[in-house]
Amino acid sequence: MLRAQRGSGSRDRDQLSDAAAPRLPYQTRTMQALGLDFAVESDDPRFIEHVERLFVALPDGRSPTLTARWTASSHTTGRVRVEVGDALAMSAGRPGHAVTSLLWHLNRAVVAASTSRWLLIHAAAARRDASFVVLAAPTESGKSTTVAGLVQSGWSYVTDEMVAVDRASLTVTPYPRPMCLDPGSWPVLADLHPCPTEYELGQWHVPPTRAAEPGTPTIVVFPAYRRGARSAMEPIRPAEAVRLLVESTFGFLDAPTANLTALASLVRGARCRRLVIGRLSDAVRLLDELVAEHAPTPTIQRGRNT
Amino acid sequence: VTTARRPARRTDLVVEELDGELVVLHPEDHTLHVLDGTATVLWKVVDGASTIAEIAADVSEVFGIPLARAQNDVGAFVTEMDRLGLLAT
Repeated sequence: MLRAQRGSGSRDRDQLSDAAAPRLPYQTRTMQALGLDFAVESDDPRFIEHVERLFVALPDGRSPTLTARWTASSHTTGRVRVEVGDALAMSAGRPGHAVTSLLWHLNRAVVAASTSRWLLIHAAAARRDASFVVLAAPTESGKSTTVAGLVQSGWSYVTDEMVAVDRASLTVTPYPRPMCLDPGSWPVLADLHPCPTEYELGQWHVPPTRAAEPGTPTIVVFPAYRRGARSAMEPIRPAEAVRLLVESTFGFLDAPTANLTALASLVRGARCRRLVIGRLSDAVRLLDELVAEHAPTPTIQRGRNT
Repeated sequence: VTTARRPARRTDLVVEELDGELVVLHPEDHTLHVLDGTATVLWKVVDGASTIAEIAADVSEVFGIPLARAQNDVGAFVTEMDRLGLLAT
């Protein structure tokens, strides 16, 4: 996927570049993250290869509306400079913080480019067959860890950060950015340990092998990690679920009526639960059991063979 | 509040009903309120047609509670809805 396009970039990219920002020699493909088409360029080919691996599950975009630039600001100290669009993300940062910084700024850009088209919920999501679970909660509640546990258990990955719901059809478009795992979850997700690189420090970024197909949420869960607690799940009143989803919606007030209507419709079509996460394996088992409870019973139809 | 008042819901609220409870979005300050089952029952009858006294009498009969308690409950509900700005003025 690495494209060394020294002086031979596409016309779109040439149009994007301006005189103040000379193009860097290595670029990723143009990737689509919900409403944002973006590319990353750098003077470090290994960094570009790394970014391509991280975002492998994102579909191709057309022409980038945003370009992130990663350059060595000092070859002697190894410090790097990261720009995302017009924003300076890091002027002389450690390479190990580059990906975290890139992802943070990218998320902001994705939100800005996508809120008019989708209802965006701060949530993780995964899918198993017809079951589509949304895990909505504030930061540090265990969303990424839980969705990583589900993926390990055979679920398909949708996102660990942002659930994009079409307000009319309630269909979720996946945003399969790399799963971002903090040190607290490393011991229980050791199998996901990515190959160490100089670009990661303090957080694992685990690329999904593939993204789930779009789907409509059937289960909405509000997880909360509690160290040492016994994992448990209990129903939550639908009206309370809507209230919590409103709190987790990016830019809810940009379109409050449409957003509230969509959230209420989403909750009406889903089972809603609170999930206390003590041990990850128990939380995953509870979600698997919830899906199994409502799985359609296989039937044998005789005389239909052709 | 006086028992002769005929409280009425604002007509510009965004309201969603889910399993007998209401989620109400205030159109100006954009605060969100969840009304539980009892509050939802009362919400549906504050339509500007009935007085608080009449609503309390109905509540007393339907729920089998003393009239005085019903008047207290309805009065408290109307006061709270006023405070939240959810009733027409």
